[in-house]
Amino acid sequence: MKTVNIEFTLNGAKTKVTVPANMTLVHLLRKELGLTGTKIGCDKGECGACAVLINGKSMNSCLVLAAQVDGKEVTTIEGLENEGKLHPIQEAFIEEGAIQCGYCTPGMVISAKFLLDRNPDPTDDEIKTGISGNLCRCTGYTKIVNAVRAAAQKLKNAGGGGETR
Amino acid sequence: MRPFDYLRPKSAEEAIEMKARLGKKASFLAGGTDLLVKLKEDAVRPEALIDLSFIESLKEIREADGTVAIGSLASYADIGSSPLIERFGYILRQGALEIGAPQIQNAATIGGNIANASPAADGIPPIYALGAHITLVGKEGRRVVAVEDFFTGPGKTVLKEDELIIEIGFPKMMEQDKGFFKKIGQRKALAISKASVAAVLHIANGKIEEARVALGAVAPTVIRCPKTETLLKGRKISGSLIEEAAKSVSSESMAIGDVRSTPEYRDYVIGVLFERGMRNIFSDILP
Ligand SMILES: Cc1cc2nc3c(=O)[nH]c(=O)nc-3n(C[C@H](O)[C@H](O)[C@H](O)COP(=O)(O)OP(=O)(O)OC[C@H]3O[C@@H](n4cnc5c(N)ncnc54)[C@H](O)[C@@H]3O)c2cc1C
Ligand code: FES
Ligand code: FES
Repeated sequence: MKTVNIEFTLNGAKTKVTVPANMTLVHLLRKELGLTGTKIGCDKGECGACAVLINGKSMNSCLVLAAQVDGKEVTTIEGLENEGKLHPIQEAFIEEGAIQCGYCTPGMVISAKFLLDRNPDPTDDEIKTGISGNLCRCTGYTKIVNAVRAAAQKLKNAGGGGETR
Repeated sequence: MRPFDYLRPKSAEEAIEMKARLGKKASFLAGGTDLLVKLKEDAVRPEALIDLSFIESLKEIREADGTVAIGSLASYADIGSSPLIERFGYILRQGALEIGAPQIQNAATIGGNIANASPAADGIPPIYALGAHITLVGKEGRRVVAVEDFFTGPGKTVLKEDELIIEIGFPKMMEQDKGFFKKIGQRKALAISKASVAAVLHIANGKIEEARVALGAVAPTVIRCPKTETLLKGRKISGSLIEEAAKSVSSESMAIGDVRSTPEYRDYVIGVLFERGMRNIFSDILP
């Protein structure tokens, strides 16, 4: 079949589309579904601008066929905010001044989310490894690492104690 | 990308049947991290893709008496976080964590890494050093190939047109075994290896009983180092033995030059990597 019918969950909403077999996920998201938060930089897996979460795992959506997310859960940068309130990782990026042109930011935030979901208390080295697949041509990374560290703290505070009971 | 048909088998059997029917016209698709790049560059032109990524049974990592078997569709993230691999094949875990970056590890499969057959692939030297076997199934049945016999050149393997890589199996590393994987690239992440080395040493009574040393990115395929392995056999670990073996590793390297580095640099640096790896794992007994 040169086209494929797929049904997947996109930022929490059931989505049904028919896609050409050779369409990448990033193309589906941006051109067909209008979710332009996910960026295209290199279009070959090297820059991380197109990173999204698929079943909770970060992947570069320029190297995934749209057909491959059938039945899966896809979260893009647009899916991180909650009823108009930014995700703590997004807030931390703004507060720490970790955004200049912003082109790398959606991918950076997705990589940070993937890292912090698994490792709520990363060392700076772990943060650097966590964002190692995301290139930034503006910031020099220092402020991005600071932002991820600050985000980890925010998430811990929001989680609140946790030791009760 | 040019148009292609998209097929989604639910089982390995169905995938093999599809490939047998379509032959050269079809390519298997696993994590897509090599294939999609090639499709975009128009370097390959399949008429159909057979998507293996929905075959859950090929993603399992399991143990069976004395061995560990990794399904070909296991991702490097699966391998990097597997307790079985950490315990019985940790040098492969070290390799897995060097692949690209988290987004690449989440997609890239070991089967795709092997089928792609780059001499610089980071998953391959560890499985040489582990003494792995690769199980292939095609329309004529199943065969098991030793990893050394699988690769025939850069991008070339003994895989037949209708064959699917099913799993990679290796004998468990035991208490007495020590090993490491080390790589050097242009930069820390997302860098193709300029040189890499993996080793597994079986130690008994303070002596090396058996050694397997494999080098990546310094020959048309990953290679073993027979001379170095013989040199190490039966010897007691010492600083001078490690230095001697590192020189031997450099002499067995057959590097060529390319845009990433010169042959002299590669032959030299691979000895240095080997020496560092050895000094790390024997830091408790070396001065
Ligand atoms: C940005 C980037 C960085 C990278 N960094 C590294 C790195 O550091 N180290 C490294 O080693 N590699 C690296 N790679 C290469 C690549 O990620 C790996 O080789 C990966 O393991 C390929 O697996 P895949 O599942 O994505 O394969 P795919 O792209 O899906 O397939 C690759 C080939 O294998 C065939 N194939 C796949 N599965 C099977 C099977 N079960 N049986 C038979 N044939 C099969 C396909 O037909 C295809 O020809 C990188 C790639 C990118 C894009
Ligand atoms: S656009 Fe996908 S990684 Fe660069
Ligand atoms: S802020 Fe411009 S690329 Fe990162």
